[in-house]
Amino acid sequence: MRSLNNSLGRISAFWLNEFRRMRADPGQFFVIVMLPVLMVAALTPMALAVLRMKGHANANGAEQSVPGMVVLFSFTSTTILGGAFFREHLWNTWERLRASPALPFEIIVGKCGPVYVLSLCQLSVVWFVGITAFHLKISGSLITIAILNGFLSWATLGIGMALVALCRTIDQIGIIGNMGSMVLGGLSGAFMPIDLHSGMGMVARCSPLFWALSAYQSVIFDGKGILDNTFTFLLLFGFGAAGFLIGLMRFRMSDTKIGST
Amino acid sequence: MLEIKGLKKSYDNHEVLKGVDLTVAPGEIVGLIGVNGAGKTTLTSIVAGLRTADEGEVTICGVDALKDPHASHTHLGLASQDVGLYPILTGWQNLDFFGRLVALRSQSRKRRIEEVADSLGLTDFLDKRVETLSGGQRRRLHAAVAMLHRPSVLLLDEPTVGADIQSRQKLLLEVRRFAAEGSAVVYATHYFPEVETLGGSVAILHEGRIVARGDCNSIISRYAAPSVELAFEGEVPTDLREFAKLKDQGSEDGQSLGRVVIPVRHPGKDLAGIIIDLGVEASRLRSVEFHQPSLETAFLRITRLENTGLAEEEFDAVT
Repeated sequence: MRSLNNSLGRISAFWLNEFRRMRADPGQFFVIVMLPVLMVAALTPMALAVLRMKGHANANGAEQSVPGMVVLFSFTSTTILGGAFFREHLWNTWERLRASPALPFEIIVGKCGPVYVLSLCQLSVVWFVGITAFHLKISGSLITIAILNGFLSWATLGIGMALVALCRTIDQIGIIGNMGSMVLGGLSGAFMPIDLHSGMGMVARCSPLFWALSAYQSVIFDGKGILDNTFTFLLLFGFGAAGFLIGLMRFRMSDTKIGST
Repeated sequence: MLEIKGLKKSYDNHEVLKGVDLTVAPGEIVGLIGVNGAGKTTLTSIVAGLRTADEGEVTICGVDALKDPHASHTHLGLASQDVGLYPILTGWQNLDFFGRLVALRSQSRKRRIEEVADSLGLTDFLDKRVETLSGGQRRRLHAAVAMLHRPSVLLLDEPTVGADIQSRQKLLLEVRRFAAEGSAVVYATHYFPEVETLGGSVAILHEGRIVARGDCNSIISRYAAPSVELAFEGEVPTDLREFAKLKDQGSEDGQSLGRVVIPVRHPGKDLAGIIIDLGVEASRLRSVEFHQPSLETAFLRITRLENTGLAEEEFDAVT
């Protein structure tokens, strides 16, 4: 019981520390929120044209641009998680953590938790701005959207953990995170509906972003609910779990990581 | 409290630690000295669980630190060679975080932060971001983190590198006070005067082994000799240079003022002999300084003894 309490205490210490770091560098949050919002503003007119062409007579474009940018920028949590781990090496605090009573799983949970919360906040803000500023109409319930947000963040966090374990430098994780976001997001239909890409549909199905986007749009256009999206929830959970599994199998506290560019 | 037995470590084919034995009792400060590459950092890293050992035992407060490093970490405080702090957080936030990691409860954590900050002269800087602190202030904060939870074993690896004289003094004073409260302190350094100031014991790590261990004063009195330093206008006379070279304990920078350090047994008598031997060259003599035996000269003699592989009597006879 005491060791459980100590463990929870250390995890909460990591959470607090990560949030303090985020608060000390608020620019990061503004960037990850402002960029998708700006992209929504830029892409909405084009999305409007595409949706009208597809027969959505009442669409205003936000039905494509908002969920598109949500899934595209959800991937930024991979690089944020990478930074949370790799900067410890840059600041020489990693050795301190290793010489502390903290167990590896406590460090992982302690670092992933706040990034997960940050990711949820990011997605929520983009949805909020989409609904209020871009007049996005959602046929289904916001609860389904919120649950999808939770599973999407989980999936990208799992991929992030795998990248943390597999990459050696912060540059690697940054490039993979950013390029991954663009490629997977693009293939998944973040910029334009997936059925306009010939032959890319099968490739897109390997990406959690595709499934998340499809589910978001099923809620927006068709009013699908929680039960209708159970398969997507499970799939996103599976993507995240697979990422965490790879991460946990390959993660070594003693690995040398380069935290500077 | 800290017991190291037969510790061995190799990197590729290079054996860095060749069977280190070291015991540090509660309240004892051990100055772990050695040249760069002697294995000091490897030794402290293994004790702290940052590196694995090839062979040997490390026991911290009865806990096998090699088999169960996490259990031993509760008793351990580490300030490694490189400052490890979060630069974008304040000093207080850094101390608070590491205090939470070692399960210091709210009130005791706050009290300890105030105590260590006060004793290391950090109180006025606690609310400032670490990135704005000077090198010396960071060094002190780095050490404060290691001392926060009053660990039974404190490992300090080159804790004063780059620190100003004020930071150095504060740190040394705090280390002494810390040991006086019952902690075992391993102070790895190559600044010999610091070890003398700490007044503890000494362990000389040379080529992967502890080659001398004991009270600082007894090591000095046993191995070190007094010396005289002569400064000449121009170069050091050839005979004297040869003599110093022959003794293999002199040094000279040989520019406009050539200097040479010569170990002596009876300073006054031996100096008189040297001046007589110099003859007319003595007219170029500009200054004479007597040096008391020090840990540095003891260290040099011990390591040379080890390098030659001779017994002390044989070594003295040869040199």
